Amino acid sequence: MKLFERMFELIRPPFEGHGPLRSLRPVYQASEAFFLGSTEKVAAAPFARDPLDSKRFMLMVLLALCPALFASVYYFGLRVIAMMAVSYVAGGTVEVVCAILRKKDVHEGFLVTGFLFPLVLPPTTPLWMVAVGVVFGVLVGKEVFGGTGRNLFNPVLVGRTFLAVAYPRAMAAGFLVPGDGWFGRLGQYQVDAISGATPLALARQGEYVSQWDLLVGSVSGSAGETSALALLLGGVFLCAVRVANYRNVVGILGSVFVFSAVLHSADPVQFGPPLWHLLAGGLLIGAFFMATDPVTSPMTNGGKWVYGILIGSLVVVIRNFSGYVEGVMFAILLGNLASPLIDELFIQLRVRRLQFER
Amino acid sequence: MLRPPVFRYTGREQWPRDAASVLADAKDDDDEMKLRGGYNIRLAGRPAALIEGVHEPARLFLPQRSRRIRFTRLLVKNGQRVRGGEVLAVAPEQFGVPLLAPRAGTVRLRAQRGHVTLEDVVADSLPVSPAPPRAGDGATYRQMLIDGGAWPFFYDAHSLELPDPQRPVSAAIVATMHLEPFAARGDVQLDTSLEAFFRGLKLLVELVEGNVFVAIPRVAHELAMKLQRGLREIQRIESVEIPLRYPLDHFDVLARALGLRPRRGASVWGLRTEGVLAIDQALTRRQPVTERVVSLGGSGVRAPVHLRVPLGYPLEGMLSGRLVPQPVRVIDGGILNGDEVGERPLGLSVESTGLTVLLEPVGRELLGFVRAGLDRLSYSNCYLSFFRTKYAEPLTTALRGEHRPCISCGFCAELCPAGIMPHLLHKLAYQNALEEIDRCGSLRCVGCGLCTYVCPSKLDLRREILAANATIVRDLHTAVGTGTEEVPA
Repeated sequence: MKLFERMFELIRPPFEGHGPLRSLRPVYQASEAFFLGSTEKVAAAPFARDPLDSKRFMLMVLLALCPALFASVYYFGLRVIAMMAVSYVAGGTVEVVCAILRKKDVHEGFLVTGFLFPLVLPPTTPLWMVAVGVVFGVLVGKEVFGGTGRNLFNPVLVGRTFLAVAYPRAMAAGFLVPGDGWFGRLGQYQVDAISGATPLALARQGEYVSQWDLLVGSVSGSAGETSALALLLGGVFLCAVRVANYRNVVGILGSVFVFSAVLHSADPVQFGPPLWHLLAGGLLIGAFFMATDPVTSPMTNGGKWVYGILIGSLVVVIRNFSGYVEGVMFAILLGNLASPLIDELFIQLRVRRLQFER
Repeated sequence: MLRPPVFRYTGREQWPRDAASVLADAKDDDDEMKLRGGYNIRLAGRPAALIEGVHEPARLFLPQRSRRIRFTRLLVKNGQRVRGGEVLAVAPEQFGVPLLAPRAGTVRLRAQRGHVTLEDVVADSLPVSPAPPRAGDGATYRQMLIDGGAWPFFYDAHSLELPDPQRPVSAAIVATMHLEPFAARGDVQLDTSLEAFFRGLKLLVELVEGNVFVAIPRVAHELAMKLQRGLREIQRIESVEIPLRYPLDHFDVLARALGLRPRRGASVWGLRTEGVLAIDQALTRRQPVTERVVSLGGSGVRAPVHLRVPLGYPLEGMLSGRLVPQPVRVIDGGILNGDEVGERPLGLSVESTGLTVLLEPVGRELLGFVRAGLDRLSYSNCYLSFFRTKYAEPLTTALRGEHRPCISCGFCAELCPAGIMPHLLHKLAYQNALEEIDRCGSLRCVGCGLCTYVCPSKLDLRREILAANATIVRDLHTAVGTGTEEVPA
């Protein structure tokens, strides 16, 4: 520990004051903050603080995504790791450049964006597309709004939507048949493109993949979204450590289940069973990891329920009644768009109640 | 050297604080009382259930100003010899509350700035004031309380200011516990002086027009039951069980939960255990209150205890020999809303409830945010802290993170006992939208500090809100003059 402290002491001077590398100060600051705790002391009451900080907040999300990452590498090969590396480097560069221009610290929020982005892409997406997507997502989805904490949309979904709209054919062709056998595609990197239709696309043709396959994840789909089990594992953990708010998750999953059940009971042939819908596609990764982003979801508890139900019902509508087979991405973006409005409503209600109480 | 006396607390160790032993801490049980928010921060360093005495002081430093009181008019001359209980100074703006000499000694006015210093202090038997001509007369009683030095124990429940003795009192709230971490606990004194407590309560009832609400922790505990039984025998007393979550013992929070609204022309009193005991001291025993039981807690204290100390006792004397040999920070009051003790004051003020000593952080933590959390309990669970109930990590004054923009995690609003949304106020404060801040109820803030304690972005929410409130009261409300809320400087 002392060694690290001394090392950072040693390399600090050029970044400080009028040092030659002063413009790169955010980079230095970020790496120091990563390894060593802050030196800052509390100036006013309360004189002690909870150990929770934004670094740990973000780390919890990464930790919760690890099962999904493992599943994606297992089913789709080592290429996912390469995609993640590209995502981190490209997106991280944007983040750092913006921090330098803004003369502020690099914020931790990007750790999650960079990790999550490749997991929502088809597993054979060309690496340059990963880079383009993440750059667009971070820049347009977050930085132009003022950086972490001020963005309206989830940057991951902004990047994903950009790719889906700009390169529809490449994206659609990027889906891969999952590996099978004991080791899946654990040892493989480049796979001869065996394009596989996603379960939701197959469902349009009346062919339902078994729920067991959806649960373990041996189906085609975006890299990190296929294994419901891995996502549930991480997602429940995330709710238990209270980084994700359960209200969002329950709101979405509950409403998808209920509305799908209604549709299914009306016409079992055309509409899939509710549990199947819960496990299929990007619903779980979206519900647990994207809709729970505290920045882009409402901050009031009542608002979180409404937001969840709104997203859930949009998912059901888009999946069943539109040209798109998958609706989670658009549903969450629309939810993001609505969340300030939802918040306003609940804040006014609360303010009214407080005034009445006074 | 003589060892100072130790007053042992004979009951069971303390109010049980752990979740398991708290009977019904469930949310739905609070519904009838409308208590919201609060957090039972489990921290190491709470003062033991033990009241220790201190060595007789050679000198006393009586601060002329404390949070609410300014003793500006001096009644003694430099070099004058005074007896214990004699009036040294009065606070003309605070209803003539006197500063009493706790011991006999020689007055030095210019020895320390802002203090009345007593030298050559000798322990002296305190005078007994004459019995009041008419027993049970409210005005006489109040004057006796002021003259007897008991008034600093009284609070206006809504503003936390010193209550006006002339105003009628519609109700009073007595909090038998003090839930701020490391603060002096009521139960320690209660156990040894339950009789005096009940006597004080009976006298309090006579001073109050309406009911006296006594807040008792909702725990299965011998003392709590004894209290319950005793309270049932006194007229116009209502006991209120509250969960052990800071700051649900706050007078303003309790007053709101009990539906006691601020009213023009009548005030609601707030008192703690020591306040009721002070009433007994001043009215039954008719002796001036010149001592306080204060806490000495926190991670910087070797063995946290309670101390029975004469007012003006040098803080240095209270701390010497009790601190760990490391850099520490001394705080007057609790960690969540106390004030840092800098160069001043030198002695214990008439309002001080205790000292909290926190370690200053030494060194920097390597990869602290990935630590498993077995030894670090946090408001949001860390991966393993879930399995712990005790908080073993020594608390420091480190910020424990970097300042970041608000991510709207909502923890602050979850904890807020006033029901306001600190994160929203933070954003409004950023836009300088004072009227909007006011409309969102920022004046309800009780300054408990929980929002700031849990904030993962390390925002100074408490300070921001209190600063905004001060501006609101000054600029927006001066014409209206509601002035019913606490606005500490």
